[in-house]
Amino acid sequence: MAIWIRRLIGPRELRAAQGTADPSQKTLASPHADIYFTSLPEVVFDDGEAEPAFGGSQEDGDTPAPYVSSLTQWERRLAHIARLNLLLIATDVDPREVLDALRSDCHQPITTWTPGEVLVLPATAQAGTLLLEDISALALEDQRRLYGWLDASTGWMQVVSITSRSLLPSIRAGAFLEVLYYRLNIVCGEVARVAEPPHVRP
Amino acid sequence: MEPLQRIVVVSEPALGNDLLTWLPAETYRVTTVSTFAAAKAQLRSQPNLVITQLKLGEHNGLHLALRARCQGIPAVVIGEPDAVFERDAVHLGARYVTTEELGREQMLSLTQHLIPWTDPDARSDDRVRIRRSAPAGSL
Repeated sequence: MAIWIRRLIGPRELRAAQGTADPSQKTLASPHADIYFTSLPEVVFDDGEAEPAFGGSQEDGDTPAPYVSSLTQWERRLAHIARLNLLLIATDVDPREVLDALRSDCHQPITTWTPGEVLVLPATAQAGTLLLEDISALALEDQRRLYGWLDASTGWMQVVSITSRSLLPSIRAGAFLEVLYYRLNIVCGEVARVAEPPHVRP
Repeated sequence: MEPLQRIVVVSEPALGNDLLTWLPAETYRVTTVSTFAAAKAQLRSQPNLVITQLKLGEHNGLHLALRARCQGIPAVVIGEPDAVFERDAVHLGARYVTTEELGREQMLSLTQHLIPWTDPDARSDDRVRIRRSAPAGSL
């Protein structure tokens, strides 16, 4: 399937857009503008899922980001506004790369966990983002703690989990809690490395 | 004669059959599918309403509700009683119906309310709810 890529804006570009007279850019200055996934570019599939322009594009001289996401721009924006948890399946990308990209773009207080670390959970009333790298490596005991924390959380915390493989086999094997899976996987998207050069619009 | 209102049901066969029985064929054209991918394909035809189970194998029915909302299609998510999922559904403007309260009368009433032709205010109410959910300064 042919794809072409638009890159979402970063904080600097957002600030620049706020001063522009271009109406299409003005929308970026809206309080609902999402600058969260700035390293995950817009993917416009050629099956009719094209969306309005958002941010820079190749013809503007921007460097396309190295990853593509199966989530649409509006899915990401609405998920972010409603603070829905995201599960990102990194098919051919190291989950650490994805986590680093998200961390560098995040403009809110964040807490991260990577395999081998102790899972430190923020206060239940805290707002922000919890980034979990390679969630399949989370020990059962920590899964239970995380599930309890999610249920008790009263703040505006969005949990973004990354995994390199489907968790369903782990659930069937009893190595991953099904209840936690559906808590973390409200919105699910695949993240992959760009496989072909993006088309440049004439 | 008014055209049939189109409803996409995403569920296991048993629930799909119940909904087919409950929603009168003279008013609704119900299409049942069982996977997230098939449901996404159905959304392209812009149905009037989406009714989905919460657990869709690898996916969550709330994701489908989110997709539907992106297209302005109202959505109902059916799942076990769960305050967190219910809150998430409300945040994205969907209705959460528990398996305990699921029944013919309730689904008929909800369907009539959510399909814009029969209740034009339903969608604008949902949009307001999404905005109110976001705390000041969180974006």
